[in-house]
Amino acid sequence: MFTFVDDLGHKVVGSLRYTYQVFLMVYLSMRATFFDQAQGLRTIISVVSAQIYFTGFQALPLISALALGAGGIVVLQFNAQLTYFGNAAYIGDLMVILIVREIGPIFTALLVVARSGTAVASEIGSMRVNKEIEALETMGINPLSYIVFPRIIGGVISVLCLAFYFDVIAVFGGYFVTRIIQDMPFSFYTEAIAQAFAAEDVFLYFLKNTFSGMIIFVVCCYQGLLVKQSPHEIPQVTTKAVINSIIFVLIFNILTSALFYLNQITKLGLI
Amino acid sequence: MIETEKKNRSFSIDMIEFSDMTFGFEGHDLLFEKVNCWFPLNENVWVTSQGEPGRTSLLKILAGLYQPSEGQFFINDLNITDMSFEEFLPYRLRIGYAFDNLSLISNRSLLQNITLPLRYHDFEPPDEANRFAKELLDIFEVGEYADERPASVTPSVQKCAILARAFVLKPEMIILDDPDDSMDTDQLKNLVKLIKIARQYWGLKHVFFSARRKTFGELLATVEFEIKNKSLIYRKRVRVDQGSVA
Repeated sequence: MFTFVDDLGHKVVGSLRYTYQVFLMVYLSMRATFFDQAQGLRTIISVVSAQIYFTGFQALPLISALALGAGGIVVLQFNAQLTYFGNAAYIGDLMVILIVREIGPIFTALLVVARSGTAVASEIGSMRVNKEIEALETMGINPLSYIVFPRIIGGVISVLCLAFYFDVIAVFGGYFVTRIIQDMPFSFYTEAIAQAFAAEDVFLYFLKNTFSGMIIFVVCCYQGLLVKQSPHEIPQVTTKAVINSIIFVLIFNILTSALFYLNQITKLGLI
Repeated sequence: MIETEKKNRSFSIDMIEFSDMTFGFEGHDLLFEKVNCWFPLNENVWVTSQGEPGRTSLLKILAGLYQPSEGQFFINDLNITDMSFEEFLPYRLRIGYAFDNLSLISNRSLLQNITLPLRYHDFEPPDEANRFAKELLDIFEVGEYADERPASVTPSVQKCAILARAFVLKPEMIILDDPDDSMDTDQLKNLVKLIKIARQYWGLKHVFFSARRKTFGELLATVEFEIKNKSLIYRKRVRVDQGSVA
């Protein structure tokens, strides 16, 4: 019994310490970037651009395939079911609820974790091993403002753009991909989507994708910086970065959706 | 650019002192224990040891990269162990540090590595920064590799770039960790030439270094600090101006 309580205590304290250190890293990187006048904003912006290029632009082919697949499946499945029950007009609601609110943020986040989160964690880990981070310090360059901050900002911008791109491709591309096996008119489809789209979807889109992007890049940068000396630590921190990012992103998305629908139900007076 | 005089500085490094300085890595034996010493200035200080560890650690403490576990490290009467990154920055920009190996930013060319501090701190326009960096590489006769990335060149060329980068901010104090590692005789002569240029034109005053080859250390050193029994022993050296550095 005591062992169980002991273990639980250790885990809770460990989690709190981890969270505190991650937040401290974010705070210090922001402070170093905005309040230290000696930091070169021009160089930082070039690192942000590079991050957007690698995380956002280079992921477009992969996310296109993923979006077309997801959109096509959803259109095909729900069009058949809704037509069968005579409710084809609900296709717009279902696309917005499933793609824009739920699948889009999660698929985008998973893709970014797999492609860029791993790259960031292993890159920073390698920089640690190769003394590149120490070298930056000797040049008077704060590693937090040169390495961490641009990756977080570049990552968040990329995730927002990729999620938007995913939503558009999934909603419209999915329709065209399945055009040969379903006969829904395009004007009917677009009208249904336009009617289903609401202001809170825009809010939810920004909330989920901004925080997902932040979680992924903050966690991956932090894990990368945990490498001390040896190259064998790099795969270990990379794996941990992926696992933690996925867990935190999923928890955040589930909580946000739960709170959103709770709010909707409350508004309808059902609770 | 090389011949231009160093810009006026608001202050200079006039005193370096350890007071009861103790240092060791967590879980390992102490490397230094209660070291009290003043470092002589305007000298070429050679850090040596007879197999005892701590040369790189001592140089990193002097560069502000490692903090003493206990005790104090003073630069100009200021205890730098209490300083944040931002507070120490003015001193850091007056200290050039060359690592023994690795340390070049792997996704940037040698030229970009050398110009990075100049461009980051907006000390020089890009063209001027590139020209100066090329001049530094040319001193080591490796200018042809300026646009190559570190992984594409030999360790010897990488070492030249590491050394060139240490000089790019025209520091007042330079710390060289085993600069003779991976370097041939001609390149070492070029390094000695660069130190002379820096002393003459850029206001370089204090040189701290370790060396793998005794002959190189003997050629450059004016003062020696030997790490012995977790402490430092001072020796004044008679300068040998002629002879091989190999």
